Amino acid sequence: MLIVVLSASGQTIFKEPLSPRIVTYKISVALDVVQKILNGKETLTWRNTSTDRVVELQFHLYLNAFKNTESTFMKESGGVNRGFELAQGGWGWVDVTSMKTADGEDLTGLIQFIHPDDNNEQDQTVIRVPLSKPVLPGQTIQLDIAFTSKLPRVFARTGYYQNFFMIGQWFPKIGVYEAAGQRYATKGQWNCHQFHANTEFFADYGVYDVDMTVPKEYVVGATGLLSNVKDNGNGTKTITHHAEDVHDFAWTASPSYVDLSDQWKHVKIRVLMQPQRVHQAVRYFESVKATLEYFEEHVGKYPYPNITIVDPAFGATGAGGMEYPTLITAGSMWGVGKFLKLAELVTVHEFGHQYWYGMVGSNEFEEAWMDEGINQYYETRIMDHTYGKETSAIELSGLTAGDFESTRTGYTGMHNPKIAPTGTLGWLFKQGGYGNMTYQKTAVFMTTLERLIGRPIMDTLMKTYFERWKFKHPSGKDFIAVVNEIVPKYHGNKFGKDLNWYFDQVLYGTDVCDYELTTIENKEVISPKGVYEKDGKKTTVGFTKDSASVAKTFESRVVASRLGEIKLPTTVLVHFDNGQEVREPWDGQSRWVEFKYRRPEKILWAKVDPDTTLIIDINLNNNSKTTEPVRAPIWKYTLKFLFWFQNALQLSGMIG
Amino acid sequence: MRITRAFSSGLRRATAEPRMVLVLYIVNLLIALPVAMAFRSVLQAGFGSSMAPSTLMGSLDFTTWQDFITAHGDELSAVFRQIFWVMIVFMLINTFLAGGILTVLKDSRGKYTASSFFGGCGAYLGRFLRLLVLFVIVLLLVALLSGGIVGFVGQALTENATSELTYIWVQVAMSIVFMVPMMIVLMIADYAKVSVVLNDERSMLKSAWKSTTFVFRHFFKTIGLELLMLLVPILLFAAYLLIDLSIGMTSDLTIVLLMVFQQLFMASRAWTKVLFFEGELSLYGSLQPVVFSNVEGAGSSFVTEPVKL
Repeated sequence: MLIVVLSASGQTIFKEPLSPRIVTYKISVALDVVQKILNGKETLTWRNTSTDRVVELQFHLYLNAFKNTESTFMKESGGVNRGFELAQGGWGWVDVTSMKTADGEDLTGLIQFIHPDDNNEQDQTVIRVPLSKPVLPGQTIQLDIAFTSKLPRVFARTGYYQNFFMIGQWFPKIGVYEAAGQRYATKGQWNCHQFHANTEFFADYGVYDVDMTVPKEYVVGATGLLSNVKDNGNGTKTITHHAEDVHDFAWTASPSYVDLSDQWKHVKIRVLMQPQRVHQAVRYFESVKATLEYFEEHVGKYPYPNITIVDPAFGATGAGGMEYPTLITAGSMWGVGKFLKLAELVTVHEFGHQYWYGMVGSNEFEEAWMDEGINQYYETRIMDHTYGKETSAIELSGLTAGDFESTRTGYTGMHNPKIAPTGTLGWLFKQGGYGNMTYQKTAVFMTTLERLIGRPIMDTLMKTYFERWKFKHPSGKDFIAVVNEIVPKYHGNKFGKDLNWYFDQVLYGTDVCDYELTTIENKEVISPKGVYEKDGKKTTVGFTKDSASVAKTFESRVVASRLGEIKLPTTVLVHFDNGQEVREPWDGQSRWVEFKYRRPEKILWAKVDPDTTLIIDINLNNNSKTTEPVRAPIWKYTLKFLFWFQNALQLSGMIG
Repeated sequence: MRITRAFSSGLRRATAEPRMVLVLYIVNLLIALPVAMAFRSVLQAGFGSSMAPSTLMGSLDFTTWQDFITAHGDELSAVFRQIFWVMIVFMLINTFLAGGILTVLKDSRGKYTASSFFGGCGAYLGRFLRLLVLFVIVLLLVALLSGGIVGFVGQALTENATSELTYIWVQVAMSIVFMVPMMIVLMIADYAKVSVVLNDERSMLKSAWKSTTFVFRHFFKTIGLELLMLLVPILLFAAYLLIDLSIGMTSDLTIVLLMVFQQLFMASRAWTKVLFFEGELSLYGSLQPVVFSNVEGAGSSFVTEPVKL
């Protein structure tokens, strides 16, 4: 077993900081495995990097979302999250029992719950703490905070199940102070949202040193690197982890883990497996290595020396599929082999979050598409590249599906794909569609953008975005600014002076894209026949003995239509019966376009968007038309349907 | 030995009645065809003269199918909604046909004729319909009771499971426990029909009771025969699956070829139906003394005695 260890306390991971390191947390916590309680002490140092006098601090108390049915999270979710219900009696909460400044001023009594998003007085996931002495620009404030956290029975990513613990969002976490001009702030203010059913997290980068005391037999995995292990002599041990340039700290503990390790270049890969699924560990190792390789080549280097992958216990699946800096939770199932690549998919996705949200620290509350959607785009690229475009999700005896295919269907197959703009604030997807819009539609419009501008330019764009915004907090407009900088550099004016028109439609609008090949028509040109006056004489024109061998001429036309409201440039490909083809560019603006031909050949078939550049089109089946439709596939599925229905009838006949 | 004799008798007799098997197969096909053609119409109209269907000749193209379902899901749902009602109709038709099957089979020397078959269908329809109602109610009650028990036990055994292996094995065991009583009820229903035909029973409650006591008095023989006969359709299905996987439906020729095998398989299911009835008839006749009198329109009569083996 290989574990990366910092050999002495005080040793650093990075010679130079990668991030502004606005916060440092020194936390000591003891896990009571019987009561499912964490007793913790936290020393927080926060630096004011703005030019404002900051007169109060705001904190997230995320675990209070699971305190009772009146929290904003529980009201919005109805007690169900990621498909799982909060178990009866499995409540969670966090209490700040003491908060003092370094010079001893007791702030505990000044703590107030606030509700910046929805005025729900019962919600206790955000507190403000007014300061008697403001924190001046460039100054730091140090606070000693004592807290008690009760873990819920695994729900919404965190909690316990029997002796399995996945501990996320467990300590009082300071919000992000945004100066005027940062992201969308017009004046200096705290960005500290309540915990909603549809939102995740947002915090500043810093350094964490965390002492975790657990029973001796427990195996612990956590953000950062192991720096110390101490046997306390009373049946417990204290494990210390040190993490730099991260904006969160999560950990896990269980006596059942099988601890496995591997190496990829500079990265130690640690997998904590459930014993009954140890044979599945190879899938985690393979997929995370493929992901590390892909990101290094196409985006940028993964700077951390390690990554830990947690395989949640059966019964704690709600803790799976989640990302924390240098630690992810995945998910596998005994008996589910590679025919269903869920283990690979979730690993690729959650590791991808080390980039989108982990290093490029967008605001997951306000612009979830920037981490979930961009990450989903990369997940589909990596899965299809590694496991095949048509087999990367499912490969089972004739039934195949690729990851991008199924992602696209998550958007195009919606009952109402116009439900809300993708750029909607996370908690305002009141009618649903959060997942479809932020994950799937974003991945689809990113892929469409890639196909419009070309993969090499897309990679240049994303590398630029990553390098420019890593360890910072970009907004959506910052991403679009990078697009507008890079695309014209390579494509000139091909897409206009900028691509705002594209994002206005796909990100901030609700319209759909649907192009259709509407009509193919071939009419033989009939030479004039009959009696005509010529030079004062009547002349008969018409059939001659050789007329049958005279070459025919056809007047043909193709009509393509725009059924959706999204307007994108495209092409119409026309194929003639002699094998020749013509590509007709169309700016996609008008409702329809017609192309006419007068040739000896007839049009055999035609296709709008023949290269499937506009993969955001919600119906690809109407993109083509042929004068010689193939009927065999229809008969194939009809006969299959007949056969299985006949069998079903025989079953019902067992009763008769 | 009685089991194997009954099984052999079933095999022999089912093979010796190809015309009856053909009738059963054609009825199944004719009932299924309209819904299948409705399904075809939806596909035809939905795809029109698009080139998209060509992507479906190999394996099922996920994107093409999903886009089709999104655009034409309502029409497909309308077709699928018919399935339930057609299954009810088939169940009733099967009840009608059971009388004919048993009428032909009860005469060990007889052969299928349309008049004897359909005469028997008509003669026993009323009684078999009453048996159907009775056994549907019994099945529902057994399903509720059995489902409740297995659900409760399954929940208790898996509530704090830490491994999905526990969950999987418990679910498999509970499924078997759930299915066994259902299978026994279906078997009793078959023997009730046999009893009605052999004993000319008029009271369906009495017939149901007699068949229940028969099954439980000769439990291992009846279950043994049922499991032995069940092997036949299972093996035939396995053979079909192998053929399906080998041939596929990726060209005009293979579509036609596999269609032939599909319909041959359906014919074998009709043959299996006759096998089951003859096997049950034969076992019942060997274990129960039967006094039989003429039923008008029901074909020739005979008296059977338990055969000492």
